[in-house]
Amino acid sequence: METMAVIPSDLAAAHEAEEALLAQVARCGYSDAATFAIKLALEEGMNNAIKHGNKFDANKTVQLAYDISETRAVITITDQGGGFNPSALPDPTVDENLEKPTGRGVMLIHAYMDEVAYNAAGNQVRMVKRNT
Amino acid sequence: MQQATRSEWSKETPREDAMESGGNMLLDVRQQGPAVVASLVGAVGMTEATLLGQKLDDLLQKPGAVVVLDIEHLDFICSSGLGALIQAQAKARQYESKMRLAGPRPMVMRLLETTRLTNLFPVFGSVSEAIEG
Repeated sequence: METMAVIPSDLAAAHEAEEALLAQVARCGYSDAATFAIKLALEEGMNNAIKHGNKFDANKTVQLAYDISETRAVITITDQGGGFNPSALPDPTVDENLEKPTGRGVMLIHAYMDEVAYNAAGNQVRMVKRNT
Repeated sequence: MQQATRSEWSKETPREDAMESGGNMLLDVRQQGPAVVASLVGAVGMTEATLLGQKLDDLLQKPGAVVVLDIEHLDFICSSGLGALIQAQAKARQYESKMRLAGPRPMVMRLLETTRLTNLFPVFGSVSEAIEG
């Protein structure tokens, strides 16, 4: 069953919503590695939505939708920003970009989740982690 | 906001107090031989990353200082926290001091390897190894 939360562009509010999602992950018995991956992707996705998407605009919200079962976690984060093109981000793992601040969060989401997809506008990310 | 103005964070500080001030991270700083050892406990998300960066900047400002960041009890760090470490390493070069990481847990080590930040930070298995360099 999907749960949905609408959160102000505020890190404390996001943290509270993240804790509720992670409590459900814990109840479903995910491995430590899968739990770490979900927590990381969730933190990165929410930070991106609040900071880069909504630019901390108090008049904008972030929608966090999730469906956590014993077999897989599906998380969708939508912001009210103008969107971005994830493929245009520089690769943060090449030597010349190691010290640059951009792109590392998106790269980590891809590295730790089993499926990642953005909508055409680039303001929504859907992430899936299987409980293996 | 009380936590941000503390000159020193201590493991003895009750965890609930840190949570109350909006952070989920504790940093215990001590002198150990020739090095300053900063033990990082808990989780570093975007909220905590700024505080961590400020504290490391303070510690690294002394030229010649060797700062060992003990991350054995670090459960979680996001890209903002990694960004704070990257900035601290750049400051260390600027201040002519050194920062070394010690004792990462497997999941944090994997994160450092995935991001290839092991190419940027000297990472040691233990604090004593990091002090020896």
